[in-house]
Amino acid sequence: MDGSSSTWIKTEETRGKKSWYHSVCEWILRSGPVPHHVAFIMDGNRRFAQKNSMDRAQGHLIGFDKLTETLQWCLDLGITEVTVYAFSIENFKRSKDEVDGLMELARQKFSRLMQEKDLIEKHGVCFRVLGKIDLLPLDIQEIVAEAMDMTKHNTKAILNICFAYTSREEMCTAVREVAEGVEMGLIKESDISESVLEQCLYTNRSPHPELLVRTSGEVRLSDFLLWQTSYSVLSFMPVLWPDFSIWHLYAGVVHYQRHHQSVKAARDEHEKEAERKQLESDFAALKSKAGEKQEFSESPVASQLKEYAEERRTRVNRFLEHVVSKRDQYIQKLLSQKRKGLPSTNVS
Amino acid sequence: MLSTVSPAGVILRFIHAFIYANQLILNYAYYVFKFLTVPLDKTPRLCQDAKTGRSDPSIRKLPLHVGILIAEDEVSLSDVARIVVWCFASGISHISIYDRKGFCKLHEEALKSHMSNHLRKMYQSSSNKAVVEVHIQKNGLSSNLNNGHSSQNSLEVRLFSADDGRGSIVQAAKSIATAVAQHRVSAEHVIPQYLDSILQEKVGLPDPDLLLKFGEVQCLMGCLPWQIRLSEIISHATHHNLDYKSFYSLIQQFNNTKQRFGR
Repeated sequence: MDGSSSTWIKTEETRGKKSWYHSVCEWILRSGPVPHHVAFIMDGNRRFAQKNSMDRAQGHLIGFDKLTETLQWCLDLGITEVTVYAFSIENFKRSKDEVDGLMELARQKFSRLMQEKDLIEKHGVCFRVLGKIDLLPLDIQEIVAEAMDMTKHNTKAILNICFAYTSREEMCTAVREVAEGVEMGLIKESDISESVLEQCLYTNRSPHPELLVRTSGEVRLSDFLLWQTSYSVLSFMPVLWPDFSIWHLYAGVVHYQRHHQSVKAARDEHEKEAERKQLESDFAALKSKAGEKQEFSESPVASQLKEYAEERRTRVNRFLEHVVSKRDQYIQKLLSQKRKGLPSTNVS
Repeated sequence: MLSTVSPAGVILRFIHAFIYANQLILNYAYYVFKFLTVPLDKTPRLCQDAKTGRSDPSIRKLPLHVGILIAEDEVSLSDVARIVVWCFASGISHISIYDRKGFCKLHEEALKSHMSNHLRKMYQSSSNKAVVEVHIQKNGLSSNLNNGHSSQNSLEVRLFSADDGRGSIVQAAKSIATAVAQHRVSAEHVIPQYLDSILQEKVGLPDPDLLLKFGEVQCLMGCLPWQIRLSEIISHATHHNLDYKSFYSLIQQFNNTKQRFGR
């Protein structure tokens, strides 16, 4: 593996010129609906390594290169956000050697990210690491914090890396977050809704992915974005991740185009239903409030309802700000630790 | 690039439409083919297989809990009931049905009588004359009968709809929040195992290890996000007129899958 192929950002020189038939395919696909956000379960690195009789670490390294390649393909197609499942909390159960190897790979790649700073800024790439990052070794946490902080203002392309992540842990964290919010009196129990929980997930800054691709032929979600992909198009591909090619991506997008209309219809209906439920819950809350006072106020119900909804929104927004600032604080703490800990290594 | 209507854009749109149409045509051709090859007389063979299904040596792994996910606009209660009965006959002890709009919940009684009918037909020709009782539960309330466990002479089915998906997590969050606010539970106590136990109380079943998804569309349609974490999702184009052979091949597909649980 030569160094040049392992970079995060592929420039014209490192990846060669795009061939004309790829351009034509892109044009054709782009005349239909293209997802904005695609999630990948990059499965099959180890099986690939075994098949080609190399060691596992090598398989993971090739898997990483495939990721950077795929990111470029996605951008060319107009897919501006990608979420990948890099490491599950369950993966800590693997052999110590393999876990250490994966952590070392992460350490290298995130450090590399800092070295490619200029290129990343130029392309406007934003990196986010989603998951229970306090499970990671401290030095990796610090590099992750640095990478996220450095790129947080970029918007042209977004890469979410799920690391030490499981969807159940994420949903549970959201539930704990709202429970604490109620305990602290920031929100009321009746304010808890799908949308509030959703905004407490690690993915709170992203729209839900419209397409989920899982390679290696497995047909399950394995605790990845369970909440977020409830109304996404799923594509299970029988190819091992290192063998994933641009044609597989094209096939995935065609698959999405075939199904997106009916999925969108279901999603829209679900959103409408959620709105209706919100209205219902506001009304119930208003009624119980009036019941406490033993009298209905004079103003018409509609305007009372509007007023109540406004109050609720204020409460919820204040609560969500609190959640976000708590997470930011953790990142800032890591950053200051890093600055204090070692004399800043010369990154040029 | 294609926002302005240029001749090139029109041509590309045309090519795109062509590819799209091709897929549709192929799909319909497949349907017609399927329709023509569906055997007319299904019942006799089903009985044969249903009786021997359990001892079939090629099936080594049966799902413990199968979720039937209907991702089609039209639900055929009779066909759903038949699939349930096949599952039951092959020895699967937990069965649940999910349809987004709650059609099955709405027609619970009709579904029940369809199931009884299919059961009667199946056991008529078999030596086993035991009467099988059918129980259906909605809204995931725990049963006092068999704790959702079908036994030899009782068939239990749970019905779910979109409300039981994210909605049940919201409900759980509300009750947990109340408990935390009243200091009955501390916030640190809220870990996935705890939330799982709260949700488990409502559903009362182990997580489905097999999700049989019926419908062309490749989407879970809001189906129980918490519970389907490790479910094998095996799809079939439609549940309408599903024949036993197709059902059997779905079970066989499950039989061939491997779980690694992150290792």
